[in-house]
Amino acid sequence: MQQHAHNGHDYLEAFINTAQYLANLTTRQDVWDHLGKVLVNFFGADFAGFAETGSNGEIADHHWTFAKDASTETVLSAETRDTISDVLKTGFLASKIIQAPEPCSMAFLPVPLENQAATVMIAGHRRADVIPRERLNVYLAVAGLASTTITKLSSELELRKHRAHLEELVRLRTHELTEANKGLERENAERKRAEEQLKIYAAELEEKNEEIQQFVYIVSHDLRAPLVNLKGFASELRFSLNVIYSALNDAALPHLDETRKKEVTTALQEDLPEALGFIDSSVTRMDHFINALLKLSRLGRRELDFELLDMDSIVQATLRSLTHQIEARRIDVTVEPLPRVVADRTSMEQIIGNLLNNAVIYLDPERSGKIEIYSEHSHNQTTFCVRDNGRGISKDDMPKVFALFRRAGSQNVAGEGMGLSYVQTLVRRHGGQIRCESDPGVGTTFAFHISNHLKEEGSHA
Amino acid sequence: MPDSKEVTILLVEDDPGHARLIEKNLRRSNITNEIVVLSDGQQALDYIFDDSKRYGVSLPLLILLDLNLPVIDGYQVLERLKADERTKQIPIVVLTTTDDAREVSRCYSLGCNVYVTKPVEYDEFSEAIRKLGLVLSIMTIPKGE
Repeated sequence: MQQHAHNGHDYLEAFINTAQYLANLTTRQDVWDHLGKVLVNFFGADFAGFAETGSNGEIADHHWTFAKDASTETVLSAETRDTISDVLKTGFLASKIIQAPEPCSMAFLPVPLENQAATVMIAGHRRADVIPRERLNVYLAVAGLASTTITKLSSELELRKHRAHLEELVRLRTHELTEANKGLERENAERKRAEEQLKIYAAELEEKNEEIQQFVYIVSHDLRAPLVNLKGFASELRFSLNVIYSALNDAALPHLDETRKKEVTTALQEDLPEALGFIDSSVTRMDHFINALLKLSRLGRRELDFELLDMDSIVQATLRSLTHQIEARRIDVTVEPLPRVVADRTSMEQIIGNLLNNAVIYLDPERSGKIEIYSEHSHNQTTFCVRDNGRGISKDDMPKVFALFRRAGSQNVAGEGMGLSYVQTLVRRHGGQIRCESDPGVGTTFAFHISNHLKEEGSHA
Repeated sequence: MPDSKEVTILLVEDDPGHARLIEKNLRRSNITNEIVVLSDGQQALDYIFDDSKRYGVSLPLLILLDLNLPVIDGYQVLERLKADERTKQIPIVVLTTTDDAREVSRCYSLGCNVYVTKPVEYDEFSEAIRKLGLVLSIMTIPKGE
């Protein structure tokens, strides 16, 4: 930066040097600082500076640079300020001879800056001569270089800001993702634990179920053996009793007085047979219970055979078997179209059979019977409903509805109290549930649903 | 059957009441053969395989076998007898309270000759044993060795 440029070739070289020099700067302050030195040292200006309209509307000057022998103080005169204002307004360069504080010729060059109030670059000579055109052009080119550099710097700054913002965003998002991932991992771990726990419960349940089945089965058999004896020996006693009675009748009784005779006859003919009769009928009842338990335990163990079933035809077949009662009691039966489902045929026949049979036999004789069969379909399950206008079930009796050996309401209808327990067992094995809603004196609705995800040709043991 | 009287009926039954009722009803259907009652599977096997335990009674035999027996159960007795060359010809009637289809088929698979369920209803029980007696009375039993 020692040599002053004096001709076109020198200017060009100085200009290239300046461009290279400015390219390495990183802040706007550096650009102004170095541009002043460049104008004085390379391009022969005696002093150089910059000015623009400040935030308060006043012209503010800065970064003055002076040649060695020049004064270090510059005061902007009113004329200078006006000229700067004009250049800022018009965007055209100006060249003037300013008298104060001493006669100088000054070139005022606009440095247009993108999105920014422009700056005016001032290059001055301590002579009262007009600056030649050629030199003005050189200054103008330097001002252009300044403009380009500053614009480049500000876009770089923008870019840096933008990049920093992006990086911050990425950091934030990454953090969020990491947190979300951690949450997911925790959730996954929890789900895994829950699933494992479920598996354990399922296995335990399976085991318990197996135990119960085994228990019911064993108990049913072991309970039966003594019954054979009770029945057998009661009959043997009856047999012996007859032998004794006929012998007594022939030989001993005629010799007894009337009172004794009556006592013995009553004992042999009434009391003993009555006692034996109670033993016998109680054992029969016991046997029925045991058989029912056995049936239930077998039901729980039977392999189900899932196939595609036409529920309409199953319901129609059941209704046909009830034709006699339906016609005799003039029952109005409505069957809405029913869907096809994958289920075990025997189970469905037993469920529908039980529900329809119950609906028929528990109708209220006081009013004409009405039975409706309909279905509801959802994604996961299919529900079948049997609604009657029968005598209904009281709230107190509700818990007994599906209980083993329990029968609700007045017991004027024959039954062992097993039907709905079977039905419940069968429905559960189809991944479903059965519920009952009833209004005493109005009617009862039994609704059972089965899973829509049962697989054909498979078995849910 | 000229030799049916020589056949000993081995009744393996742990319930003395059942044993008595079976015996009574067999007698009522005119079965006069000797009836030996044993109350567990081990005794039955000892009786068959150990001459000294037989108290002079000789084969041929016909076995009425219950399934739920202590020590060695009916299935094991059935299996042992039917797997042994010396005893596999002995007719075995399984006589039990169970009517479970799987147990019935298991017994037949093991080689049982007749499977009879003891009904709880005594009329039916008597009838079943009476009919069994009729079958036994006309059955040809292989002679013992």
